[in-house]
Amino acid sequence: MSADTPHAGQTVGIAPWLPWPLSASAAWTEPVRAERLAVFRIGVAACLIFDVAYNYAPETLAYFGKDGLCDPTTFAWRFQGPRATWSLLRGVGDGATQYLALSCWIALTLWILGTSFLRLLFVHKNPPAQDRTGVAIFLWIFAFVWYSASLWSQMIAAKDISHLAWVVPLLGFSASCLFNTLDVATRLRDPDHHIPWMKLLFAMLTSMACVVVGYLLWEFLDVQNLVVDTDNLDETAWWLRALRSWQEDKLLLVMSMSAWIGCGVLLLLGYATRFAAIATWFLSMSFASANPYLDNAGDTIRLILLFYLMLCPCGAAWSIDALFRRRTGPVYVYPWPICLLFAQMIFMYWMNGLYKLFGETWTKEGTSLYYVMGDVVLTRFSQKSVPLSQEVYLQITQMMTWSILAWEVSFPLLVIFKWPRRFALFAGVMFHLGIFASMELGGFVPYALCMYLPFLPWGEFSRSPRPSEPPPL
Amino acid sequence: MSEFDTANAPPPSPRQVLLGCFILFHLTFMIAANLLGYAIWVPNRTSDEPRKILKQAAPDFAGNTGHGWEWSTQLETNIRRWTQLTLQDQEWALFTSAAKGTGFPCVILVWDDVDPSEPLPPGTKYTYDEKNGIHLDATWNPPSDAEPPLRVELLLSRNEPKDVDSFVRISNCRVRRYEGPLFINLQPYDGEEYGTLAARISSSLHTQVKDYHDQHLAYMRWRLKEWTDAHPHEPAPKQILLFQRFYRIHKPDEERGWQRALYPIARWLPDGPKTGYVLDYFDYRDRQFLPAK
Repeated sequence: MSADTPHAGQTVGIAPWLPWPLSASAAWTEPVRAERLAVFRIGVAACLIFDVAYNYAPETLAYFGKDGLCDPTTFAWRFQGPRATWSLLRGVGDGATQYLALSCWIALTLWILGTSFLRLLFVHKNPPAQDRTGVAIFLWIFAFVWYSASLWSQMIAAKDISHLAWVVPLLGFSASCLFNTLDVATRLRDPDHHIPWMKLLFAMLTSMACVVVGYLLWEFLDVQNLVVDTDNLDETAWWLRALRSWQEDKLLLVMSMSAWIGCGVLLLLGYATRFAAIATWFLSMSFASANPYLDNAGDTIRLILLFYLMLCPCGAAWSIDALFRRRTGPVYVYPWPICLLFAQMIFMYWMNGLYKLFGETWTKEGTSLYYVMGDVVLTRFSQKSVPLSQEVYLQITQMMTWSILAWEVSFPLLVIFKWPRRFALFAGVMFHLGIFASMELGGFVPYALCMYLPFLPWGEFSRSPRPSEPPPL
Repeated sequence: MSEFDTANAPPPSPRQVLLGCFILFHLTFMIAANLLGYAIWVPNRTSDEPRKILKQAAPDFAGNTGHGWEWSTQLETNIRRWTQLTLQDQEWALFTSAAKGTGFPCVILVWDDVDPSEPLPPGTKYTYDEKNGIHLDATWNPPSDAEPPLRVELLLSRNEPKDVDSFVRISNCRVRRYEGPLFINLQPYDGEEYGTLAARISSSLHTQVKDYHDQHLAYMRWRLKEWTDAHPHEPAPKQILLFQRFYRIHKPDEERGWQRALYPIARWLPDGPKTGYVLDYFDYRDRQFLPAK
């Protein structure tokens, strides 16, 4: 049991350092049952799998491939500086992902070195809990490999392969050796220090492999050595295709789409959950940025939810990972992801209401829903098939228009107290179900309803004993 | 917990501090992105009286100038970078302005050579009414087996129901989203005269086709590719025309339903220029396609 856990059970995840007044609020600090995040994860993953498999995958090449609706040149402007838009689908050689990988690599190197040095220096002076590496070393490896590959891709495209092809990987290899050295030094000072051998060894081997690949490229493709004529490279070679834009290669594009669905399945099952959540977010970001004209507000919500899932211990319960860990008793998590999600919901509804206040069809006329229901481009069924007279139909749509406006504008006030909050959330669910029944908006409604899942008392449905817990939002 | 325990409690680890800082940053981002966007949006929507008060409270802000405005837009630019990096878009303004007209793009394949005196499909003619403006008087769903040389092929949007009076839609939301930016409302304003309307919509259409040139072209290419894949032995069409099948939603004081109109939007000649602006937009003043560049 964690020292800062008031319940009988185990709390997983990181307790964030928070300043006052957040640190004084039970909603931000009191751990909650892990089932809340688990059901949130399962809901988002299930919606994502269906959405991707039904709405994107059958048209992968048409939506994202070359000569389709998203030829890489069509949206090339979105990936130019100073914009920060990026997509893995544009390949390792794309400037945006290259600089992103370089930035992440530098930041993670500094983070790992900094925390290692601090532990080495203060290992006998009341150091903080040991949590240095975590997922950071894997992200470091990914950023490093991506940056190295981007250099090779650009050098091959420019037919100018310099010694940087192996010097940069050598720097990475040196850094990984330094990580190892610092950990060994800490172990010499503190016999209890745990060294993550496997992770560090993986980083060393990967960086060493990059050095070898970089050296071979420099040795055999260098224009001065002329071992291989760069003008007559086999353009269909698998390694050359992998270094170019994935959107220009049907196989790579289909593989990316399959990986997206596969990662969603892993997330649903809770197997390698952290990796699955990160990979799903990266792929969702990449497909969304590659062709932004396919997505609506539901996809924005999906990306927001995946962003939180990536950062929180959503695999602590109801997952294969949890089965392997064999924890006994109830499992708790820190509630900050649920609080952030709640803040996001407040802004989502409230801002919608505030913007609508300036529309005459929402305020004075009350005809907004009448026109929305008449929009044959997005409605689920024809407005003419509603068996109501024009007068009654207009009155109902007017009443609904004003009700929605009042609910959205007052949402932040309603959620302050317990019973109005429950009413506001119930009204929200009804609102979304109404949208689902009347409009075809893809994943908007399912993803929006996933936002409500962590607010239900899922711990009560678990078979493990139920200790006292703060009431759900 | 005793005082002794508190004094010896381990300090927060770097990860705890980092996570806390991230939470604070993200909360700040949410607040700033939402409220700042609204603050920048509102002044242009206010009527004279509130604008006068706003002008006194925040000098020049309502006129989109001055320190406050400059600082706000600068901050918004920085916020936008984080939005682009993580796609945590905070533009929550769904259905804020009700569309009173809607429409689907449709592609028309023409096998005739370009005829400057008759740029549109044979048999069509212009018409004008006060509600729909200038549009084409044409067969809404022309037969696809017309004999050459009058041969035209109409490719409707996948999202357009065969019968708008009775349908159930269960898919095509992605195609609809892609087609959204191709839509342009060419209805006349109340009391707008013919000449003024023609000049305004021609200018709007020119801007639209130029600004979204690549998206228009990608859509037309995609529809053509679909057709050629389905008809591999047919000769290639010589003109690809983009039209809009417009549905004006009846006002509440009318009978529930729609009024339909057909608008020419753009033309692509597959045998024409291959690079740069290859599309022509339809100019309603001259009643012909003109280069979009």
